[in-house]
Amino acid sequence: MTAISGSACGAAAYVRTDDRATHSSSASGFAAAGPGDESWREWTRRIDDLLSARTLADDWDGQGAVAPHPALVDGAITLALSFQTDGTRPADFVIPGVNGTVVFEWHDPVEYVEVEVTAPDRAVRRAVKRETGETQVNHLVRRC
Amino acid sequence: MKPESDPLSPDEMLIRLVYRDRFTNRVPIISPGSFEPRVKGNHPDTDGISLFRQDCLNDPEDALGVIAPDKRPATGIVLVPVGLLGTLNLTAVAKPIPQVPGHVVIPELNSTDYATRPSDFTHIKLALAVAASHNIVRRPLAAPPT
Repeated sequence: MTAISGSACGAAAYVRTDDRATHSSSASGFAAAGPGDESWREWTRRIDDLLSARTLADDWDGQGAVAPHPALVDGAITLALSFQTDGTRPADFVIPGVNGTVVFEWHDPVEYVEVEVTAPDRAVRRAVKRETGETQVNHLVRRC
Repeated sequence: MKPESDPLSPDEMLIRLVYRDRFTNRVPIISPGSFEPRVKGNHPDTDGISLFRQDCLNDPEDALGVIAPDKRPATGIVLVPVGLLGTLNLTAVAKPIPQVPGHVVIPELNSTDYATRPSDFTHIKLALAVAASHNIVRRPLAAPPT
């Protein structure tokens, strides 16, 4: 069970700092959410996964992967809590990258979206149109 | 079984070793993160990400020989068709290693290029993951309860 308090920033925890479009897409849908929703519970499970990622050591995959710094994982948890509060559809994957980052992934029929947390207060959002492979990139910075 | 000195043919399949958190029971099954080049740590993918030619192995699980024994249960095995690489402007180049025959790298997915412009590779990782999701040879064992 997740033992962590909600983000004080709520829905506005992260803001986009640019819109460097190599190509385009929307975010994952938003709707009202609360602790009774399946979406909320699914996010809670993802956050539990992130808490586990805090304890990873280097070479956690047996192929030399770098463990994410606990502060970066905390930033990812803040972002996940923001998504949960906003009612964003739960990510299909929330995984540590092999280079010490944390990645959220949403797989939809038309579009693939990933948000890679690259520092405790920074992330990169990439959205790929499946039909064309076009990718839109946005940089996100935590406001508080 | 082919000797690794044989040229790679377009109808071959390449093995990629995938850690268990990159598998789900949903669709898609395999995360694009399975094809992320390593740019840090002790084993950066300087020459490109590693795969193995299935035709050069008696059993795909032989590829697990490059993984520490305690991590092998947590490692799954997927296949990527060589024919797909060309459509993504990728190549596979032989780079023999002592542990396992048939080792190849994809030079275009190297640590230097990935470190400088990772967003250029997102659609490539996605295409490889989609193909891998249709070609799962071995699922990793579930994580022990914590």
